[in-house]
Formats: sequence, C-alpha cells, structure tokens
Amino acid sequence: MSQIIRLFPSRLNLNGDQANALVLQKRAEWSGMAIDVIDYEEVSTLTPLMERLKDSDASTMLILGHGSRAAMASISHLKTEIQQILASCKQRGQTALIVGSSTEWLLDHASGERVSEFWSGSIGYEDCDSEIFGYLNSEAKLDAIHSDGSLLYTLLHGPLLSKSTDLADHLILKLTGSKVRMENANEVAGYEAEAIKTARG
Amino acid sequence: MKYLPAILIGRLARFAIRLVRKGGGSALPGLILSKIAPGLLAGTLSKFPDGLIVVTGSAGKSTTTKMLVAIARAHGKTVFTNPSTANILQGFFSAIVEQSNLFGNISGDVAILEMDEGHAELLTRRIKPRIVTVLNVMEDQLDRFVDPAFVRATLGKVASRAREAVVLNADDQNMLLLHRDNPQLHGVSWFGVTDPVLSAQRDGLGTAPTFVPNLPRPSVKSEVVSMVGNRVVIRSNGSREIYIPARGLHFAVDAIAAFETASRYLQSFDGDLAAKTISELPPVFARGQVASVNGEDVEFILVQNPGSMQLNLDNLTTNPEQIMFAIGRDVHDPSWMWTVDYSGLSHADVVAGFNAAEAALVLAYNEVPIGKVIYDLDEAIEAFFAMPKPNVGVKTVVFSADAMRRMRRSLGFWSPEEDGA
Repeated sequence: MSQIIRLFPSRLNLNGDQANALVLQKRAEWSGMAIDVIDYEEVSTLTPLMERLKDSDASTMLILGHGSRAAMASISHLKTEIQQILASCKQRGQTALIVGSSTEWLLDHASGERVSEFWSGSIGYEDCDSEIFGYLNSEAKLDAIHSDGSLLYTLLHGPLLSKSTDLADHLILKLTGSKVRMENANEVAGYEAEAIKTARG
Repeated sequence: MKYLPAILIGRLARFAIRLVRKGGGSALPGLILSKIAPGLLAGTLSKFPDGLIVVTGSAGKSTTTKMLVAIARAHGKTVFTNPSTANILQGFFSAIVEQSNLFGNISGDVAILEMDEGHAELLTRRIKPRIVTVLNVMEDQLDRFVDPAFVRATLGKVASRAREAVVLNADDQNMLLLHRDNPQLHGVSWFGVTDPVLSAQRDGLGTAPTFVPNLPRPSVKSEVVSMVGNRVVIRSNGSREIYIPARGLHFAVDAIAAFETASRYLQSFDGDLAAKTISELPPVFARGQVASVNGEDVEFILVQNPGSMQLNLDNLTTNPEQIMFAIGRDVHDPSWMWTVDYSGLSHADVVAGFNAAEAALVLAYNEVPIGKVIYDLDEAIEAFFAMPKPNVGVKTVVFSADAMRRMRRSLGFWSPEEDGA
C-alpha cells in the first residue's frame, strides 16, 4: 500500500506544508489510485515510526514540514533520531520531503539577509526534471531546493507540490507504480497556471 | 502653523481622488502626509487630554476598537479614532487629514486607535500610550512577520510602553508568555472566556500554539461566562447580559476586551451603560454583517488569516445556499490558505479576486465544488448578485480585506465610520 507519513503535522504546518501530502493523495485519487496519509504526532519517541519504516520501500514517503520557532524547539530533542531515519530512507531510496525550517534545522548553513518572495527554478530529481514554483521566506544560505539521493530538501514553504506538479506526479509514480491520469487534469492545471501567473505579477 | 501646508496638500489630494472615485481617497493623502510631515502624527496624538489608547494584536482589532469607542462616547467622551483596517501609519495620517483642523489639531478627549502590530511598535516609540490592549497572537502575515514568536516580542514592546494599564487576553498562552517575558509591565488586567464556553469551540480561539506547557491562567477581571447565538453573559463586577453584533465567540471576546479596557479608562465607568452600548452596536462592516444589496440581504464575512478563516468557516451556522469566495491582493503569500480545514464550506458558487486561481486550487484539492472562477472582481460581483435569491438563508460573501474594499466600492457602500469622515 502506498503511504505518506507526515511527521508531527499539527506542529509542522505553519504555511500549509502538510498540504503537499493532500496534493499527492488527491492527484492519485483522481487517477484511480490510493495513497494513505498517516500522521505521526508522538514527540516523546520515534521508535514506533522506526519500526514501521523498517521493512518499507519506495512506496512509503515521509514529509517533514515547516514549523514556528516554538514548534521546532518542541521537537529539538529528536534531531539525532530524525537524521538516522532520513539516512535509512536514503539508503532504501525512499522519498523524504523536508520543508522550510526543518531543512534549516537539519542542514548546516550560514545565514544572510532574509528573502521573502516567490521563487521559481528547476530540479533534477532521480530521472525527472521538474519546474518548481513556491514561496521562499528564509535567511538560510542554502539552495531553495536540492536533492541528496532520494531526500528532497527545500526552503520553499507551503504546498509547493500544488504548483510543481511534474515533481508531484513523479513522486506519485514512485509511490504507486502508476502514472497520474486525472479526469480533471485541465481544470486543475488551469488553476495552477493562473496561480503561478498571478504570483509572478 | 507648521503643518498647515502639509494638511492643505493632503486635503487637496483627497479632494482630487474623490472627484474621480467616489468613496476612495483614504490611503494616498495619508501616505503623502506621512512623507512631508512625519512629525505630525505624534504631535497630534500627544495633545489629547486623556491620552492614547492602543488596541492591537493579530485579530479582532476593528470590532474591539469600535466597541470601545462607542462605550467611551456613551460616557460622554469625545473620541478620535481611525477607520477599520486603516490601522497602519499612513492610515492614521489619513484620519488626521479627514478630521483635523488646518493646523493638525483634533478636538477631543482621547485617541482610541486600532493598530497593526508592526506599526504599533513604530508609533509607540514616539508617543507613549496610556493603555495598551493586546488581543491575541495568531499565525498571521508570516511573509511579513515570519514567526508568531516575533509578533509576541513586538507586542511585548508595545505593551511595555503603556503608561497606566495593559489589558491582556488570559486565554491566549502567547499573552501569558508576553507577560512573563516583560516583568516591567504594570497595571495589567486580564479578560477571558470560561472553560465551558471555550471548550465548545472546535478550534478554540485560533491563537498561535506555543508548544510549551501551559502557564497557569491568571485571575481574570472580565469574562465571558455563556454564549447562545448572539446572547452573551459576561461577568465583570457582577453579571450582565449583552448582545454581540454577530455570531461567533471571537466577537464575544472582542466585547469583553472592550468592556475591560473601558473599565480601566473611564473613571465613571458604568457597566450597565457599557453593556447596553455594546448590545446596540451594528456590526463593523464585513464582520458578520448582513447588508442589503439590490433589496436582498447579504452576509459579508472578512477573513484575514488562517485563524479568522477557520473561525468564520466553523461559524457558518447553516450551509449557505449561495457563496462567493474572493481573495484579493492583500494575500501576498497565499500558502496559509492551505492550512485551513474547508469541510465547513459546502461549495463556492463564485471564486474571485486577484488570488482567485490560488483560491480555486486550494478549494479543488479540498474537494469543495466550485461554480465559476471569475478573475475580474467586478464581473464576478455582477455574476454573483445576478443569481436568483436563495430559497433558504442569504447570499454569503467570504472575502479578504482587499476584495472587501473593492467590493464595497463596487456596490456603492460608503460608510463615514469606515472611510474616516
């Protein structure tokens, strides 16, 4: 069964980052496929999550969203375990999408002047080249999006997959083994294109 | 005399704009004035004998301020205030253009102003308020404020500049942290909502979570103890019944904040008069207001951040038959719209506004059926109001502040209170 595990979604959803799972789930559903979205909220231990992931494969994906300073402080004691989990995901070739403050938290970086603006660019992820569009609000001197094996680190907070659908559809293919063929593709793509056009001014 | 040329220029600008756009012209004159006479604002505000009262926080500022102003006026005070949503520095300058004499003076006892969090911090550096009321901290305008902790710190600075009293919300843990982190605050009193009333709300008050163990609730001086529809029982030196201008606990919280602030300001505070005044108030425009358009009642609901969107969608008591959803230019980074639970929204007949496409996208992924997406707001307004009257209930418009302003202008709503005249 294809599944997306959202880590601490009630804490790490400051800008709608967890909606990346919704985007993948709905696009799959509209194409006749099912993806389970599982929320992991337990901050006292990650052992059950590690157990769950032990025998999993590329049909499982992880999302670690963007949280407020208070939210990030509340999970700070789990950093080493999360790094171990991500290392295992990478080893198994599983996708993990790490967003915004989680990326800043997990990767060493220098800081500069804060940038708060829409960002567009591209990424080559596995065998897929994707156009990416999202919102960047960070002081971190890191790439807006980059991959480390199967791990996707991005500073673009919010539901970037809603306007980066080549990447979204690649992730669904990886999760389900099937291509996205949505009945309402034109309607949704139309909103997506207009939203990007509006944001670009 | 110093400010005479600047005031004249501001008034000329306002006059010129209103020649070409009825109901417009409230923003630009203030902007011009703020550039050519930056000292005017502090100068004008420092002349009120009863001083300056600031109402700030993420949400509820307009309604609380209008209630507080009404209570003060009912007690015989002459009040200078700012129009709803004109709560940034240029808005204050616009209010001066509207209401001052040619020398920049405004007669009156007190200035009661709602202030944007960031602008409150800037203004209170130059003029110390007598009372500061802080309503809440929500996850709001994060493209600008970045993090709720920064907002809390900013509001702490504003509160610490109060000369006489600070009024805080006991049911927002951010306020308790603000109080803890600013031990220099003096004259602090608290307003709130009893636990049974609060627990009945699916999403509480929508304040930003702090993710630390809750600080103990302080002793509360004014409190909402029950709420059924618009009927609210409050306790503050005795129990009283009030009627809030629109349904929703957030309006009851605004009322109790206004009540507590008024009790701190007015030496001759009369609780019965305050309760009567609040009960007789019409809603502030678009805060649950029902207005007539082409002879048909329409409910207007303003949403400005995830908290207010969620609370308002949760408080749609019945499934409105006809809904327009308009998100304008004021939503710079629309990411926050993806944090909201849309299960309370049965459908949207028309999705419109500058950010219509993003709104349509988020509704589509949340499986909210959409009638039409019309990018031109005027065209969308025409289409929505051309729909036949609903069989049940009234047409409902959910909009952001920019869409609200444009729609109000398009529909010919012009209110002296809103537009600062």
